[in-house]
Amino acid sequence: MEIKEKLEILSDAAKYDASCSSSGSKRKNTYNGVGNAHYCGICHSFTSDGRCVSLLKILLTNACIYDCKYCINRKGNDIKRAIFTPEEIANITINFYKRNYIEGLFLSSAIVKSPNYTMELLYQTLYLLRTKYKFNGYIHVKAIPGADDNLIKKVGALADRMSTNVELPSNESLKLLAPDKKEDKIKNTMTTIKNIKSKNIVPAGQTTQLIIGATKDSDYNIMKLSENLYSESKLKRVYYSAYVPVNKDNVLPMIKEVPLKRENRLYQADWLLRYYNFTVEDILTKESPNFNLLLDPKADYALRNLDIYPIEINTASYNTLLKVPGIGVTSAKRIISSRKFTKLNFDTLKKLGVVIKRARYFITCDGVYYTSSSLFNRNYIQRLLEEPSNLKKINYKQLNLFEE
Amino acid sequence: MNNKIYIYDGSIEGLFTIVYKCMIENSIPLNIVKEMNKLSLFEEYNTIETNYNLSHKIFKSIPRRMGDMALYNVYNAFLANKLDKEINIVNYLINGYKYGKNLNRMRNIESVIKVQKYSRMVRREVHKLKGFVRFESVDNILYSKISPEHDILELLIPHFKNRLSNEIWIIEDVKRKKAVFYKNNKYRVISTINLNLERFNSNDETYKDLWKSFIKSVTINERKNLRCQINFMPKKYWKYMTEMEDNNE
Repeated sequence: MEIKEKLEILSDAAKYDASCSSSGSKRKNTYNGVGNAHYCGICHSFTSDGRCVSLLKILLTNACIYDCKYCINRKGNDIKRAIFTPEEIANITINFYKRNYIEGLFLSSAIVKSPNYTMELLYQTLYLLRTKYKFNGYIHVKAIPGADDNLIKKVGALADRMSTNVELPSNESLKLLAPDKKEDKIKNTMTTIKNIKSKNIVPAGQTTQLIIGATKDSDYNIMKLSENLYSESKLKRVYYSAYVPVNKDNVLPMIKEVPLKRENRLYQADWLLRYYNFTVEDILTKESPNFNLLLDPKADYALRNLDIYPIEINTASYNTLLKVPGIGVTSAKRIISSRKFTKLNFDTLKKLGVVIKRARYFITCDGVYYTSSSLFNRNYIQRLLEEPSNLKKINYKQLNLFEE
Repeated sequence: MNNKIYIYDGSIEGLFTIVYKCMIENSIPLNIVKEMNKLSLFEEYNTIETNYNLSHKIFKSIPRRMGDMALYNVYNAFLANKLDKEINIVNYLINGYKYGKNLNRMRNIESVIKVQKYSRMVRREVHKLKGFVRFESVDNILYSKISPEHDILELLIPHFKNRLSNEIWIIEDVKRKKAVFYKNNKYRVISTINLNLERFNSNDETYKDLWKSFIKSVTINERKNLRCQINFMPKKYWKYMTEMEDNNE
């Protein structure tokens, strides 16, 4: 098989992994070496689906012994199978890297023969790149649950980031759709990586991915799981990947549209958890466990807790500022540093980068509300903030006087 | 403010000379331009000769009086492709002598907002281009063309110098007709007006082809979102990007 065909098969098979970040590592170039890592990561291209291409994201092989129902590479599928040799991967990586196509390598794999056998192949590839080719660019590699601890540590020592995909948010879902994957093995692998990370190996930490919409798990359960992964397993990122139906199976849901809006809401909520000091309970509850698709989670929170607003920009604390829709981490910091010298009004707020169109409903500047305070009520604001859904667009067709 | 328009040589030293003059005379011109491109009958034009001693004084005083961030902002904003950058930089620095290390927090002053904004625009483009530069390999020389909005060629050098330290590489700014040549930890920026770099337009087809097919196969068609793609990777950069070649008219 030609190298081009292999690359097509094995990159096509890897594309459903959402992670592509190349951040978090400060690896330096070495004498006679090639490459280094850029701490905040670099996007090298964007595909027409709007996703960033930073790493050469490929599978070592798609010949899998597992039969996960949702996965394109499942054993039962009649598709072309391919396998790269470590030398082939190293060669493409180096040549792509020198042309500045990529920031490094994202190497994943189907389970070939056994978890240990697969992990050993991943190790050989990384070893070749780091020693023979003296490659110092970014490497993100998968840890295969069920592989020996020692092997995982050996691979980790050569990588910048490692990830183990949880994929399905609950044990029941796992049993139903991925009978070969075991929750406890995934957890063990994560703990192993957490332990080596604490010794400064795998500088960019570990991440995971959850598939959204292939099972009945609620957003609340998903967010609870993420919160736990961040606090217990010290994950750098949890990625959410909207389920794209690639297989037909009775246990898989029939969907017409990929749940992209839901994925978007999960990322927004994830940001609120990590940077805005929100808890899952602020965003979702057991009683209403799913996102409002018409409102982003912060606006939804603000409307449910309207009694704490409007907040006064010139006195509110940093944490309170972060609770205002339209104010982000950067603009909140700018507000704090600027208001020492001058009273802020709506005009200066705009210049500081606050999205006034959203923020104005929830703030006062020196006691002044943007309009008559009688308009400070839930229904009114909600109507103005709701995003038009696709459904609405179809229903409200603009009336045309001259329609034929 | 006076109603003069200053003309300077386009160098940062020239601009700093104007700053010195403004401080001494306690008067700010109406505008500052590189060359006399728009003649108007009503304003008085003054050509300011660059004085390296005076400009050096200004250069030394900025970090001392206003902090390193102010010099960083001025340097970056100066590279922006903006007609009003000079007058805003001068106003920014004059405010800097007044407010000292608080300068960057005075966001109620227009020139502070503007200079910070231009500086950010320039840094943002530098960051984008660290990713979007595409080399072609010809006889083991890596050659790339760019056409950035702002004058950022020099700002890309440290990045590629660290990363591709053992390679020989050239990045040509087609718009500004200059190129950086790098080899063995040394580099030089040269005007390309009298240079012919044609021979580097290569046929590095093997890897170009592999790269294009990689980009094609990692796209998820069910998630098409061209607006998002263009947001992150504006069309003005596509011209010299290998994988977008077939999308350029």
